[in-house]
Amino acid sequence: MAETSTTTSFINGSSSIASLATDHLFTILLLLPMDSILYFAMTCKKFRYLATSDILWESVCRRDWGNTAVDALKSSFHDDEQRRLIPWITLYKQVSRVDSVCCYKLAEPDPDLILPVPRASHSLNFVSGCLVLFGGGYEGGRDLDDTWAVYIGNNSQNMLKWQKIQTGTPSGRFGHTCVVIENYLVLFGGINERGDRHSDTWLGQVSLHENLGISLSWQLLDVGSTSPPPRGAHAACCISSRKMVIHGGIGLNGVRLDDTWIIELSENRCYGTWHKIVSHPSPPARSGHSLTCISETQTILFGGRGLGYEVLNDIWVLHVTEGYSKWVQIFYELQNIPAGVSLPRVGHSATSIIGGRLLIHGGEDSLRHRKDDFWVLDISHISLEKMHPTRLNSKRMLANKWRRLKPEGYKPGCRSFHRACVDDSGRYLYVFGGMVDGLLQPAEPVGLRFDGELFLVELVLQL
Amino acid sequence: MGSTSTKIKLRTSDQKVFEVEKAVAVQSQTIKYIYENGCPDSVIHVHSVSGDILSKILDYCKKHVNSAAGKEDISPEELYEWDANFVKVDQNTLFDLILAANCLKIESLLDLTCQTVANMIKGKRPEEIRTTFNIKNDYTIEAEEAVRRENKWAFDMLGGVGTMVIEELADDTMSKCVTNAKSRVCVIAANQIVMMRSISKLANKKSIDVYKQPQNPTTPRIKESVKQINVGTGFIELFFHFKCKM
Repeated sequence: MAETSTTTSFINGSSSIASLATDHLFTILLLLPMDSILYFAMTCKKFRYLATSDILWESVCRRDWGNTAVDALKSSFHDDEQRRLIPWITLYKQVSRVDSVCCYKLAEPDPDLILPVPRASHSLNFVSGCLVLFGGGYEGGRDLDDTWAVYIGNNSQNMLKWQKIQTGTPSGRFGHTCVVIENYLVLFGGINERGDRHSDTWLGQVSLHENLGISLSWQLLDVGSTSPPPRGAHAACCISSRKMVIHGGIGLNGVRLDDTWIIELSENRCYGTWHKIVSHPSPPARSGHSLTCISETQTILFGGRGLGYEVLNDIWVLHVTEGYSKWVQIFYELQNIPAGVSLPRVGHSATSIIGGRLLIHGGEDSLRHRKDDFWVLDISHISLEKMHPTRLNSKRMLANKWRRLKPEGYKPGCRSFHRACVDDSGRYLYVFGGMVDGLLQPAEPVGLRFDGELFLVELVLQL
Repeated sequence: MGSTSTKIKLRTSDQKVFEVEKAVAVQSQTIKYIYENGCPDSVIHVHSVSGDILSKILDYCKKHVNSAAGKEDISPEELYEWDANFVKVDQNTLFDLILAANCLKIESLLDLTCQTVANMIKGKRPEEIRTTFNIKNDYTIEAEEAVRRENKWAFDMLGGVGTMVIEELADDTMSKCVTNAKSRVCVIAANQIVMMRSISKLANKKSIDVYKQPQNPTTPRIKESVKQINVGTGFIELFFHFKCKM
């Protein structure tokens, strides 16, 4: 609709916007997407000065990246004289333009070191400054039940030493999900050696001790009588300080599911309540897909393997607000994206990185070819938050940003069903395990094997 | 009964006096503070607000108080629409409302008015923003070009594949979508997919054929005409004449 509010004010030939106090101008600018702020800055010299100010842009960074990432950036520049003086608008630009990653191998094989066995479909999380690994399938079977942890803190590139925490609880499984809610781990579902699907929910809490190292206590969460049907290879993510959402997966009898459930933890974290989300339309049934929360109200679902065994590449956004949840599909055309034909995948990892974007790595396509690529998906120009709930289908600029990143440094092999998690800064991704291409043997076809290496992926900022 | 009809007197900068219900007046945190800490019977001076502006503000406060108290049967959507109409004023009034809402500390009104100004800026290029707000362009051609180059990174990011969604429209209304000049666009309107050809070929045309996928897949695709094309620097505006009811 043509805007009715473009009234111009020629009284006295002066602009009333010029009389606006700086505070109010900043309040208004902070409601705008980044490109509108810059267009506003281009109107005249005075507004350029105001709209590119460092104070404003630190607020823009906090708005778009979150306080944790901004504080992590500030503390990492703390000792670096030069970097501390970089203006926030420049930092914003460089974070937005990230087009390459640099990989580093971690955990050198040391004969004295006991390492977690190579595995896939396990869970890997970053919580309380530690990486925590649980379960998965391995060469000898499908139900590892060991919990491992390693402290990282702020030293992302030190050689790391895995510590075995415990075994046995929770029971062995693969294809489960584990998400971090505040500083708790919430584990759900999974499949055991016999093929039984689980529907139990576990809560884990990490404690760090001076002398004793890391300890972790797992407890079965009391969820009352309602819980989702048992499943494995589903997707899950944390969506708020008390809630987790799960979708799909492979249920009883090997049938792929399409249901969406949200669990809300009680204040004291002693019990949880599951309820099912009903929304039409909603993503079709699938397994091996990913769910990633990118903002307070938006969660992205991508890929997976559907009912007909086909490998998918559709994107769905779950918009959750107080008492209202809705799935919205984001359409795009593969042929318009360079190398877009490789996008359909299952068993990939999708993590939320700085700037509310998704970093997608690996996975396999319909021909079971494993990938080693890195993609960034950016749907930040869709401002669903500001929309009145009944207008969720309304006009929005969808600038799907599929960008393939250039990998530098160590070249990790092609893999699927690995796990990845990002640290507090949102710029460092830890990847462990997965199924990788095996060695070619003259008499055998290209095999596959389980991988046990941990590597680090850094988003390269040109500073 | 007495407390619900307590009235407060307000005197504006141009010496106009307004008598309003207490519940309405204390929507302003400033008035609330003065009332609770001063003499309740005297007139409160709101120095920086004129009679016209205060009158409008009191309308706003009254509507919101009545709606919250259930005195008026109005749904959230209707209140939202009422607010949208409330801010359809000339710019001077709008900025005066911002100043007054800040000074009177009425948070919801400040949010509403700031969002309104933001909406007037959103989606516009610098030249359009200047026209809207009557901002004088004091850049030289060189300086302007330099600033554009400096900010190029942000606008380049908006390129690439564009997929646009057009509002669900009533019959025969005009819709606008803005796209980056480099992209090939696939447009979606109310869950119908509208295909468009490469945008770079559009620049020279007077009208474009846009095909609309009907909801019933067996009916043939409908050709719609783009009524107007505006080509700007790095963007093309397309005005569609849409008949959405299929």
